[in-house]
Amino acid sequence: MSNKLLWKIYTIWFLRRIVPLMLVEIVFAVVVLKLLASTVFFGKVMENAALASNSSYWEFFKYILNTFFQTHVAVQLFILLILGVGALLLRDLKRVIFNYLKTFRK
Amino acid sequence: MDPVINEQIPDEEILRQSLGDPSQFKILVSKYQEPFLRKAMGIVRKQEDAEDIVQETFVKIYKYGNNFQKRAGIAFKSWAYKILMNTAFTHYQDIKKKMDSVEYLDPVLYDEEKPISQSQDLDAMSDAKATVKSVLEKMPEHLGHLLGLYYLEDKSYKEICRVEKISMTTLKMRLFRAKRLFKTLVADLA
Repeated sequence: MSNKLLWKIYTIWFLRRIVPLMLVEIVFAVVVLKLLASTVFFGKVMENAALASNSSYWEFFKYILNTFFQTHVAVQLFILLILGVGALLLRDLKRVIFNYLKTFRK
Repeated sequence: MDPVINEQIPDEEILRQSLGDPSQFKILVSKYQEPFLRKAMGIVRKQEDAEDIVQETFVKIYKYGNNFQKRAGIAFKSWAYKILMNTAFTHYQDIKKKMDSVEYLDPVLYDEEKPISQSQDLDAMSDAKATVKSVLEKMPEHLGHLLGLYYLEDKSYKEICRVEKISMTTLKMRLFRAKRLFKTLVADLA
């Protein structure tokens, strides 16, 4: 009975605490990404970064960083927002996995 | 491995923590599972039904845990038992509806050592029903009426106090006297 019960408890927690939060985060991320995609052509940026980096990760990182600082402030803000929302999504994902393990670990 | 039951942390606090971390709820489950099962068995007398009731009770406790946090001065234990009893009675009423003429009796009103077995036929059940009715009729009206309201009509203490316009202490005392008298009358009948 215990496992079945804990599964129900975990589902309630997941539906009440995680699903609404993740939905809001995902919707927010999609909106920001759409806005960003209308101003920045990410495919081209990556292509140029790959050419400029010459197979060096450090150079690639430097190119991306330089590009970031050279863009418009609004674009920088959008990128930071995306990174922030991404971090929140990762945090929620981590909570889902850790709480699952903690709840069902013998 | 069962979670460690820490007596230092009050149940209310564990419930509060479990709303953010469901694994904490294991502590409450392991602490109350057995007493809840015993209590539920006293009402429905069937292991599977009792387990269903206990499970539903824990789910309700978790679901409405937020509401409990808002009520100051209420102990978790009494709140949880109230939920258990309500769930058990709802379950019992469902069983009663399904079996139509079968009427379980409150454990206080009959000998707990010899519960009505599932195998007994419906005649015996309706005999018991008739006996209860006749005993209630023999009792002083104010006592029989209160027993009927509480055990047969499932009214809460609060409701009875309001309808009968009596205090909680008076009600409890009258119910106690009524139960004692009921037992005596049943014993006399036997």
